[in-house]
Amino acid sequence: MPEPKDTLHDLFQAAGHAAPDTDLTDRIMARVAVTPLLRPTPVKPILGRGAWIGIILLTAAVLLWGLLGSANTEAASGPVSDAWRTVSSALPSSGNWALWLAGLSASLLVLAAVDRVLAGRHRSI
Amino acid sequence: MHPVDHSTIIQRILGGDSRAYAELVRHYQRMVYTVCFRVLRNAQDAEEATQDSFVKAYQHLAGFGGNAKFSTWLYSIAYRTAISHGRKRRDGEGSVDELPHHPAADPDTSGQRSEVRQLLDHALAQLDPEDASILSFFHLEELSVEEIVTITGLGASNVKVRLHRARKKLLDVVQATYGTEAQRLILDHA
Repeated sequence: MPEPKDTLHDLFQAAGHAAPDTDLTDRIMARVAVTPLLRPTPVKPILGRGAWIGIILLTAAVLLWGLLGSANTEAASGPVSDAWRTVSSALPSSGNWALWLAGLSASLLVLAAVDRVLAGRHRSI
Repeated sequence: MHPVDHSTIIQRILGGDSRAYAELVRHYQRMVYTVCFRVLRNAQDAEEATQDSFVKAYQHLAGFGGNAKFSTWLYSIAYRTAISHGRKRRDGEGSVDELPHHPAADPDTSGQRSEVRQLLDHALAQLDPEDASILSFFHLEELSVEEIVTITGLGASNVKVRLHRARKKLLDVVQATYGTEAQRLILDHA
């Protein structure tokens, strides 16, 4: 706040507001009369919380299945290890696929966070 | 200016009574016009920017969350609209007569006030338009630095520096150009 004994402050206060034409209110209201009110459309995240939890659980299950499967695949036999062999034969041979899955999970989490932050920002505008 | 119950008026407008907006327009038009005039320095452009500001504010009234004061929200729209008009004018028309000019009909302009206003208009015309607006927010509306930060979108330290420099420059201009006349006008008006 300006100090009370301030020459510039006194000058501004003495001058007051600039004065528009007297019919400005009427001209504004004439434009307002033909202007629609914009109602903000509620923005929801692309995927709901439940969907994201499902994706994360599914990814974690696949990751766990892969880790356990790769550890037991040579020794064990049965429907789970057979399924694992089918999946692992379809995966590219180069690189560590478990790392790829971990990266995918992290990316999904980041996308979920960004999605929610953007929705929150839109609400606060 | 009499106090205005913003929330009641806004609720009425959002409920479909667009005429209630006239009360907000009447209450704030002089300050909004002043902000636009300080940036644009031309009465016709300032009136256009004032109209646009109020229409924009009306359109987006439902989005006014009430987190800030209504006046701060409105001034922010006015300031940005005026800056945008100024840019368009510079890009489109090149040089424009920027001598301060106000419409002749001003119902509450006494001779004395008019003289002080002319003096201030001429002195502020020597400053950067954005600095002139910041000075008006600070000295005329008595807004805090935090409110000016919200309105202009500038950083707090930037606002403080601009305020300091603009005050110094304006004081120099007033003293160099008008000297004791400014002091006399202020004292006479008080």
